[in-house]
Amino acid sequence: MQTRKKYLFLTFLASWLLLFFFGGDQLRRFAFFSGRKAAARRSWPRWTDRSLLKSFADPEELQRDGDPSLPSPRERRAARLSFQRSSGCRMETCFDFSRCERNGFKVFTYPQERGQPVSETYGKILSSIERSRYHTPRPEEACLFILGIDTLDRDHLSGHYVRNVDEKIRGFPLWNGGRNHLIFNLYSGTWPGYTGELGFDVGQAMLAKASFDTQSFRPGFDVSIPLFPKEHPQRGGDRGWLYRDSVPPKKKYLLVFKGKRYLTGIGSGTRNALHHIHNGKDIISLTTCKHGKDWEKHKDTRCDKDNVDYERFDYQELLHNSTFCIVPRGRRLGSFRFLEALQAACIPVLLSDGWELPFAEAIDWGKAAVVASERLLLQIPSAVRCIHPERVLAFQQHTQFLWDAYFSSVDKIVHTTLEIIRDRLAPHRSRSRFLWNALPGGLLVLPDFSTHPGDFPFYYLQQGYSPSKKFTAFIRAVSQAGSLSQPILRLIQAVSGSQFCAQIVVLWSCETPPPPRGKWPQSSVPVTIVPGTRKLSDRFFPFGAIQTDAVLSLDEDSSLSTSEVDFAFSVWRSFPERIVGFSTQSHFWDPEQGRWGYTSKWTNELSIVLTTTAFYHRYYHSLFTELLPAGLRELVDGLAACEDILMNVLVAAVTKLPPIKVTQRKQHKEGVAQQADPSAPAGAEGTDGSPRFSRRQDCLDQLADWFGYMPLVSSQLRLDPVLFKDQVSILRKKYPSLEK
Amino acid sequence: IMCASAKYNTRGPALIPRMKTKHRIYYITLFSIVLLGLIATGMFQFWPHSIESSSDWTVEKRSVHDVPVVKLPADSPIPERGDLSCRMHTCFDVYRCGFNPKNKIKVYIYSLKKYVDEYGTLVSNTISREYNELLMAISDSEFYTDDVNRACLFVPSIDVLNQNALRIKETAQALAQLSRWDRGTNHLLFNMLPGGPPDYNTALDVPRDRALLAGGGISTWTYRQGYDVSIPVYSPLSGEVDLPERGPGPRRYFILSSQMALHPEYRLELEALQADNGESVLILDKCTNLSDGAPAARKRCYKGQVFDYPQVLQESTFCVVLRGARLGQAVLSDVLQAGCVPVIIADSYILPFSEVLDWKRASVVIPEEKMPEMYSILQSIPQRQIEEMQRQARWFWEAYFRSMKAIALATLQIINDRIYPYAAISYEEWNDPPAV
Repeated sequence: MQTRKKYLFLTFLASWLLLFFFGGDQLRRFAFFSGRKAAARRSWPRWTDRSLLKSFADPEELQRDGDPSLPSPRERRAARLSFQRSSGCRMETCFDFSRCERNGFKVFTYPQERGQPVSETYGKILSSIERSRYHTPRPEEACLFILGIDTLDRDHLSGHYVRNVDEKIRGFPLWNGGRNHLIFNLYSGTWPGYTGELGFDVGQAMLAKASFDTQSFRPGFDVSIPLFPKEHPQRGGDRGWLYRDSVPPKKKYLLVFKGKRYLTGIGSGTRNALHHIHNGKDIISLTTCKHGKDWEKHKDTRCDKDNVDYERFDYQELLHNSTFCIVPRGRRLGSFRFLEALQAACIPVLLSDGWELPFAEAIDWGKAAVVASERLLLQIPSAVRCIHPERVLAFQQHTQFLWDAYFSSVDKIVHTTLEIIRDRLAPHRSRSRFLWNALPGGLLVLPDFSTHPGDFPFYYLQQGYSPSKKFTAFIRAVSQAGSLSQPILRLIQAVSGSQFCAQIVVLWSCETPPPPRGKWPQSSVPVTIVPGTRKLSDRFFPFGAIQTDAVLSLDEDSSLSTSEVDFAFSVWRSFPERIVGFSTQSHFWDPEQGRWGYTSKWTNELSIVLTTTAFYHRYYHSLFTELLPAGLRELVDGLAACEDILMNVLVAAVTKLPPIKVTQRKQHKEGVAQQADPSAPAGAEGTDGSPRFSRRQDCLDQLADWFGYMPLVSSQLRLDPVLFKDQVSILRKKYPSLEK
Repeated sequence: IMCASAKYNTRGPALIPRMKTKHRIYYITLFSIVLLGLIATGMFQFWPHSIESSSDWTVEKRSVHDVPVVKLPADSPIPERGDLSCRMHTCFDVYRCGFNPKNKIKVYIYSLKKYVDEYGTLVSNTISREYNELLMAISDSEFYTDDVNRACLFVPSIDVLNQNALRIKETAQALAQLSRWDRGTNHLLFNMLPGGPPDYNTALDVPRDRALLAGGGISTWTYRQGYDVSIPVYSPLSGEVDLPERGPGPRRYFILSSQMALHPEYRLELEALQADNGESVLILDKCTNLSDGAPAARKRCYKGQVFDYPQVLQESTFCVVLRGARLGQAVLSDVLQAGCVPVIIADSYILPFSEVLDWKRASVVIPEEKMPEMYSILQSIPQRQIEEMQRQARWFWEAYFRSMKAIALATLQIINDRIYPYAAISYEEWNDPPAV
């Protein structure tokens, strides 16, 4: 017995000692490997006297930095302006801000020289500027100047190369050392170095250049633009290729490249190595040496085998079926591949060291592309494999947003360039990086309207704001009689009955002056009268009197009941970026005539909501008046029938969503349509023969032409209140009068 | 082993009843002691944190004055001047960083030395409190490695935070003799007060060849985009004064200027602004007749009225941050801490961490030329946006300005993001304040 206990005790003791000395230590080293390393590493010593160390600068020194004997700031700025250094230009030294103060940001394009035709691409750029809302035909009011000489291709081996640019420029009286000029360029330098030089002295002009390298880029002054092909559409532009998300966002191939391999010269280092990562399964990286005139002279041992592989895959097929696409530098830093990959939702993996990415001043490329290092090519397969599927999906979606917002047409590229420059003129009134990088994109967000995301209809969900709880009823009065008509009185009554109505604004577009205050009906909400011209586009002017986010747009002869207003407003609060209304029409493609058709017949689809009774966001007034060029508004005024179509087209172009129809009281359906179309001779339908109908038809056509595509989106949806027409007691329904 | 000991425990009690009573107590006691010992050992062995916290015991307890002295011969090499054309792909050796699943760079810190010239005079102060804090923060971070061969980034322990406090040529020589200097490749220098009279360069004047510069007050002329990092000028007041967060909303003054060393021309413009807009603008200056003992840095005066600094900053909606001789001003940090929206008037200044921070959400930048229009510009900002800017300003201070640690880690993270861009921190993570 005793021996047994003794053994037991000894075993305990032994196991304890063993555990203490070896076991635990071994085990712990195994389980907490890193933890142990951390403990053992030599970290920065905790000095015993560290509390006695002196500060790097005493408070006096920090606060009294500088001495007043320094040159005065004004002199310093003046000296800076006279300091001519084209390599070191910044906005504050090379740009004359005072030119932009008088007339705002206006852009003047030099007339094209006779006998010197510009290339197709430069022609597109010039016409994009002329289509922009900033264009001015008068040089004296311009803030920015664009040359009429084609400077896109500065490779003197190319056919489009324009000679003697220096001489020509010096002949321009407006040139002024290049100050306030913007020069577009796509191709610079020539074989073999392809340096960034343009072959003429740009002076103090800004450069909007493709393939910009970070070293010659003058930050905050130049703009890097993408390289785009000459077939790039002027306006509109094709959609991205990601029609629906697939989860997980995997495609057939992980990573692809198909393109030229340079045997010699600049850029060959990168392109020569690309075949190393080809594995024939999910990574396809194909190169060919077969390009140029004398490729066989330089050809190496790989060439023949490469050329065979190269023919086995189709570039378009690869582009459509790959998650990531390698976008390596060519001879120059940028390549066409970049925009192609972006459109195809194939996440670009950039191998172009030192490339100042297009519009990087505004766009956060980290969300849409993988910026890899040419030197670390072999790490790319493992790096992209490690990216989590949810990030891949986010990347794909962001490529589509960027493509559609800034790159899909020459118009967008040029307008983005102009907006970036405009943002620099007043830093306090410019778009934040957030606004540039969130739907619907910086071009559609006017900083003059507001710089706060909560004031726009687009960011409510994302930012956790909600639209205001009240609306403004905006009535356009046109009646010829000097007094108030019956319908308008009824309308004011009905609208002011709504608990959500904050104010009523009447746009008085009549020849006679508005009746005196006393003649207006008593209502519980304030009524403001703003005088208007007789132009139709006036109804979408951003009147300061409109103070709420929501606008209920009305004609004086619209008839509405309070519960219709209440219900429609509650629907709008859920869809603040759309037009919410009652009467609808729709568009369709007419294959026989080869044009867009328009119908106001009762169909199962809708794409236009009449703005004679509709809710929408106040911001659309600003977009309508400021974003659209004056020419388009004149067109609308001239046709005198389609300002509401333009508004619908605009909102659809911005949101890419259809408007929303809400239910209305049955008995006055005919009535509303009739009153909405007072000039239509026979009923509401506006039969094919009527002049108003054909004007609207023309208008739709011209708008589709101006936008470059048909922005309108069709919908088959109508929203009703819950319990609408249900077999329950009317007392349980929230909007009983809708069914009367 | 834990499982094995548990087995003994269960068998133990079964044996005890068979023992004699006099031995029983003895064995039970012995048994409990052994058991307790086992548990204690297990705890000690398996609790990683207890080991870590005890690592303090092993860290050397030394004084800064005991560090080895290095003598710099007068003819020891001087690095080239900073190369303005440096970019990550030209001057940075990315092969040192390697691919690793954590996507973290490894940072090595040289050990502290005291540098003297041929005559035995010190080249600079050994180390300042802030630089010591900064190195300590790096050393405690995930980025740190003590293995010089595995390091991707090297941080010299030579303190160049304040250019006024060092001898330029000798400091450069000290840098050049670092064991892995190699023309400064992958070396990171932290500097907050660059330049000196009369022209006040906006980047550190010490010749530093290819070394990266984390500099306060860099201008667009000296900033190598994508290579250097613009950092704030740390305000030591951040550590001394605790300003409780004040909710956003209207404050007593609309515009406040608290800087003491303004150029007379700027002061005139500010005073004109005050004359036009009365009470809502407050232009403070240094106090001329303070009783002894009160630190002048903590007081501001206006017409004989004395205000506590930085507390007074909390009384204003907007606070002017004008350039001095240098572009970077420590007052920016104080202003953000007070939740006052900075109005930054310093042409060509690269705002701190502007590579990742969206300053338009936390500040108003006004060109120097437009100073007279400041009041109307600020008036045009909607109240809702001002409140968000106030919150954002305070959040920037808490996350990136508050301590040397915050500054050091943000700098390293920015460099890390450039090397592992596919694992980079997103705009939202940098800029969105944590949800309330």
